[in-house]
Amino acid sequence: MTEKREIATALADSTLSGELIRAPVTAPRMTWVDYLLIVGLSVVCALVFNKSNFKGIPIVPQSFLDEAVSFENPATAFDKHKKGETLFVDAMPYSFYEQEHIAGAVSLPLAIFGFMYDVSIGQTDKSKEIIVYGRTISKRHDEEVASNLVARGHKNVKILKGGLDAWRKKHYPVES
Amino acid sequence: MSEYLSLALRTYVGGIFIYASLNKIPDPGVFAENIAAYRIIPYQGLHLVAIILPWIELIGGFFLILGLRTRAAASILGGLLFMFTLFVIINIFRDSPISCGCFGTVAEAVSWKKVTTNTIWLLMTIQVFLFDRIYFLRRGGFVFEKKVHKDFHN
Repeated sequence: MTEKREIATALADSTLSGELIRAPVTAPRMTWVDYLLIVGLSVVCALVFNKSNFKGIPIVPQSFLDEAVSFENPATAFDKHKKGETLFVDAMPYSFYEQEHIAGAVSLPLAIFGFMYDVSIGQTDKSKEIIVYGRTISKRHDEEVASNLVARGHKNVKILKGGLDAWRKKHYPVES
Repeated sequence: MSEYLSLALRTYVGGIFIYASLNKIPDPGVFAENIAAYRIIPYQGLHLVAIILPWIELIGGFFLILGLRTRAAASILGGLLFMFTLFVIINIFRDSPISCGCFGTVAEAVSWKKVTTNTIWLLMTIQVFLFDRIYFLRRGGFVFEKKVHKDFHN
């Protein structure tokens, strides 16, 4: 039936004479060119605009890992947590901190780092050990916050290996 | 009748995608943060998605409204809606305290209401994909019928 309709359409377009009636237009055939056109045009526009946009971002995220920052195992971190001499910093957005965080940790989300730093740990001794956590598959909040702390003069900044997930798996204390 | 419904739906869906993209395109960094909150896209690909995705929404939306390659545009935007819906559902089950980020900075929590809205829009793109026959630019006018020889009709 589709084939008949195509023949009929072709006839209607031709110069052949005959009695004509009106019939629905068939759906156009899709090809990969249609998809290539839309996606290709989008990619080109996106890359060109991002390049010229003053708020543009690098195509691959930059690593913020500072040479002065090292990683700490959850077990060692827990020993220090028990002694109470180490400051734990949650680098995740505040809504995640509110939901659950390591017991006693302070919130230092990247989006409002400057403000929260002054409020929470601005007066802390710069040589005090700080363990930062907050990493997901999509974002390394911990690296960026640790790097910012080093830039503010803190000399003993570490990142919790495995983050909150590793801490929780070992049933170490959390609070909400 | 279906053709006119498709015309209305594709204008509506196209408009929604254009509106959504205009909030994201100027500041890809903020959009990247919104996507990161879903915790699904890998770190290395996050920025690329944040840069390109809003432009697919914009150009796909324009193609739908103008009647250019509407079936391809409807299937691409439908695919995006399917993906967005899946991401929202995953984060509902994770009990994530995040906002949707669907329309840039406007905060709207991920919820079953959002899933329902997305599903309705997805159904609209399917309707457009199946029944759209009115092409403004492709066939030279507001026409969805053609003259055919009566012997070959049916």
